[in-house]
Amino acid sequence: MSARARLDRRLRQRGSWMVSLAVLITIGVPLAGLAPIIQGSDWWFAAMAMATACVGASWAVRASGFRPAFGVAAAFVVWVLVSQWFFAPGTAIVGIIPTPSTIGALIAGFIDAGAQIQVQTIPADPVASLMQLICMACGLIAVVADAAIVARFPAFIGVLALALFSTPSAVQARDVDVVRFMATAASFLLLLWIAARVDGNTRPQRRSMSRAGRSPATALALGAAAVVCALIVPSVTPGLTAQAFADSRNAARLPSVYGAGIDPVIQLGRDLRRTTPIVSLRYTTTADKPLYLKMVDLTDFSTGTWQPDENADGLVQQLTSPTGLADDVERSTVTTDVSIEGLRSEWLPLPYPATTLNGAGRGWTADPDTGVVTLPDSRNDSRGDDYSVDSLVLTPSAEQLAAAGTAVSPALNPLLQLPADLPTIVSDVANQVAAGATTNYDRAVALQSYFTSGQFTYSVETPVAESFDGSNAEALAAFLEVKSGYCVHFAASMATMARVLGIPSRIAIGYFPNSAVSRYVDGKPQYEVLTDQLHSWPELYFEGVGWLPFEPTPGLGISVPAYSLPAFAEQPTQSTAPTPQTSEVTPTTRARDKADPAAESSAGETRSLAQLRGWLIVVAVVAGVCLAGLVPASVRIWRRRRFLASIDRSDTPATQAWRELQDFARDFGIVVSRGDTPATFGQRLLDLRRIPSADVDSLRRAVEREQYADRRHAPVGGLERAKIRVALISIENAIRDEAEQSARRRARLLPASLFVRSDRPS
Amino acid sequence: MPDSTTQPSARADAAEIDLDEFARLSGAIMANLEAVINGKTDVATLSLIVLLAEGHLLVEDVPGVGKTTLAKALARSVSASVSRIQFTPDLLPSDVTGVSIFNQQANRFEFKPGAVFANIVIADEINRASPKTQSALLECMEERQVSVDGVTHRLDTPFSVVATQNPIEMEGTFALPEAQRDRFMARISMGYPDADAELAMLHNRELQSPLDDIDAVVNRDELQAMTRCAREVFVSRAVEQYVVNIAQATRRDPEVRLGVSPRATLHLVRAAKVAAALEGRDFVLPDDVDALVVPVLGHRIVPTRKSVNDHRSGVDAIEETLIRIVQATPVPLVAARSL
Repeated sequence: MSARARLDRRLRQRGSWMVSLAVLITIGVPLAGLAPIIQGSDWWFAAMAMATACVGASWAVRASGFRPAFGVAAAFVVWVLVSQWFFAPGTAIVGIIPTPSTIGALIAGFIDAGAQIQVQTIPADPVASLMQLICMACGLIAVVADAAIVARFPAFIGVLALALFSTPSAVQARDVDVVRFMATAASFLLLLWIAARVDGNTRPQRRSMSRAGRSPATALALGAAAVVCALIVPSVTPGLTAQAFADSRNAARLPSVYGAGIDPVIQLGRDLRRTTPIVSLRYTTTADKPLYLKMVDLTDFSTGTWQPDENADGLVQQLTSPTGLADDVERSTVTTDVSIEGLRSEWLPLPYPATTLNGAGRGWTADPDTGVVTLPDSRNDSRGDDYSVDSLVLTPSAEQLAAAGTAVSPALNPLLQLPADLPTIVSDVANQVAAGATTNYDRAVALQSYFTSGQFTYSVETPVAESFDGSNAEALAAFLEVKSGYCVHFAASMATMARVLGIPSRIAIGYFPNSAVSRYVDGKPQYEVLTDQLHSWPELYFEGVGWLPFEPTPGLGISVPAYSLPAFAEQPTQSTAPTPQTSEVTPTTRARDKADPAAESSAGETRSLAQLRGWLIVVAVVAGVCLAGLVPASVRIWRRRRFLASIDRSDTPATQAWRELQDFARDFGIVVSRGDTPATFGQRLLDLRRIPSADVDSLRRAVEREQYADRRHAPVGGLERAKIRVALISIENAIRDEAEQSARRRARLLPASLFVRSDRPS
Repeated sequence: MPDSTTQPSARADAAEIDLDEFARLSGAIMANLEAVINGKTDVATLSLIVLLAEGHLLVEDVPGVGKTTLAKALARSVSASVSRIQFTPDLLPSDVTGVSIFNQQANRFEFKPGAVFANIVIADEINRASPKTQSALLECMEERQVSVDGVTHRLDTPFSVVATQNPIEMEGTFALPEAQRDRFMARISMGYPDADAELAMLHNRELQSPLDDIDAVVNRDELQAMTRCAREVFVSRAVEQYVVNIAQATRRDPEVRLGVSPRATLHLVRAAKVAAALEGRDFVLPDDVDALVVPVLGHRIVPTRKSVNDHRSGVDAIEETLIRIVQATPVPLVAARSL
């Protein structure tokens, strides 16, 4: 081994542990972002231990003088060994050589982990299989990151970090956590910097000239680009973005707007928790009240989780008359113009029951039972759609509702199905609440009164905090005990309890603009619907009237349908005068508490302000990133000014000028070594570039006199300072004139002198 | 002082000379040396540096490249006493130092000085002598005195040994011990002349040796004045630190078994002073040090066996190591604190 190679090896040994540590930090910080969706912290330590083992093995092998590639191989071997020891123990021969049963055990773990992800609610319990998935994935990321370091392409690790970083965002669709993002970006940039420095110190000298300023520059440019992308992508894609990240297998199984593979109602909770809601759609209507806009119905509860009907049979190309609506029910027709903005959905938000639909394009299909309109596969993104829809406003009389009695046609039996393992608390509470009611209608009114009577509180946080988010049977039982949740829990509970009491029910998911009218268009009120106004409500079926929405969710300020109030049910007779569909005087839902996260944004102005603020933040962050990109240039300019100023003031003006010249040369890719004497460096300048040699010589002599001569009795005169300055400027201009355009730009924007402080001459 | 060359010892108190006079005198010596050895300016300069820095010079090369000629030319250029010892295996220590002989007439022992009692001693083929004789030279070189039969005799000043030796790989030689090598300020290697120089040499020496044409251009006092002048050259703290850093680096280097002694550091600074004076500069630059590192430190370093095995010869290994150390040692460039 030559002296050079040995020296390089020692430098690598010294530097590489810092790179390895930076790799671990770059993995660990975004990994910690998974904390909101996984319980506890054991999984983080386990995963980081695995990553540390892999990276550490690689470092140890490299530090003991083996080729770097063996380090990556060692990391991979450690990954395999640790995986099989912990997640498939006893299957390997002598605990080392994996067998088919080892692989089988690991695959079984992965399959179980996939199932766990489907079944579990957020935050998930890190059972063994999930732990295996997290640890092995983290270990593999560590191995790949290590390989990227060895391949001298550390910027690639940014992709891994970004993937880790966006995982919680994809699952939870929350806004980007600025602190976590900054921490991730900072650790990544730190890694780039360390890697570039270590790399720069050990790179073979014949390439050092061309690479002196490029490696850190390229890495930082890549890093900054990644930062900008990561900031912009989640910010501009509104609402239901989980689809983009969703696993395709699950997406095929559950064609939902709500991001596949996850309990669909969790998405609803996520949207409600968005800190900066954006506009989903706007609509104007001839109705005098805001309308429920339904997108989809969850009808199937046989599995223990409320789900949309997956059966695509019976879809028709037109709107059909509403199910079960008798001719004698009073009705009026209203026209609504909907303009979709940010909502990305394959279903059109429509008021129910809709009778005609215009301007929605071709190819849509409607479900005759639920009235849900689905866009064709070729166009499953509703953004930008404008359409007009006519719908009925039903005003059934109390007699008509009471006349429905308890009869249910056999065709609706599927809508009465309950899971076998429904917790008893649900049916107990249902029977207790509806004890005195004789008709389905009375029972429904009693159920709604039970939820709106004040003992339940509205909260989008409680279900997450108490770990029962979702609409499955267990979550409902927990909700009935805690008595705090949001619309999904109220709607699902009421729908489930209605089925217990023999009322066909389903859960509608859509929008209800609980805000004031934002403005008037052509004399018609226009409503602006935000993402956090995504809502769900139960629809109950009564013979002779059909499906009617109920509103069990308190605290949102939503005006409750008149027929659902006890007062309406107790009216002895129904006058001929049309009854208002909704009651203005007796809204049973209290105005929301101030603590309610959505309360502040209830007014339209506040919403648009919030939206504006969101965009301002995006713009500010992008501008900040751009400004951050200018930081190196600014620091360099500041340093240069300081050097130039010190030429006039310092006792050693020539030395200051010489240092500035060295920095300048570094910026332009000229090697500067700490072992250079002024004469060697001056000679190198003259060899490399066409530079006025008189200036270099005079400046060099001045430096030598200043540094090494006996100058106790020779203060520096002003004339000499001026000469030094002139010589410096003239040399620098000559270097700049010689350089290519790209080199000049690089020297200005990413001055290598800030990153490469020392190098050795070849 | 135009008359100083013609009137030796006229001014025993040896007036001070300035750098211009220094340049004139050194130029005259250089002209003499270059007339004798064609195309070897580096070697001539180095030998002059050693002479003016009051050091001893070791000239090492294969036979017949002009080692002795260089040593003779150097000695003759200075009108000082010159003696020459041809070292052979049967040379006795007393031949070098001198011997006490009983004078029957005076009825007492009289000291008969050996060859070492001269201003410039040419020790030819020093590695052919036995170690005992070699070590006899030791005391003389460092202490500048001779002890015979308990009586100490001081040597003249200036005193400079110019030793020549064949590479130790040659037959019938005794390698100089480390201690003795350390006493030489510098080792130079002559190297073969290039084709033109060799042709010119054939032409010049057809009739007579060029050594015969050499006149003394500097007398003893002037030589001492030049020595004092060079000693006055300023060495900044920064350069001293630089020299010490280089010395320390040789002791830490993994490819070096034995680093350089503190005496080597001293020699390096002294030689650098003369080098600066020869360039007409009154202060030492790191460049002066850099240029002298290999000749001044090279013969004192013992490389590891592995390092030697990796190279063609030990000399190559040492040179490469020293050059690497010089390049790795930071050159001090200290800015004043007050801005």
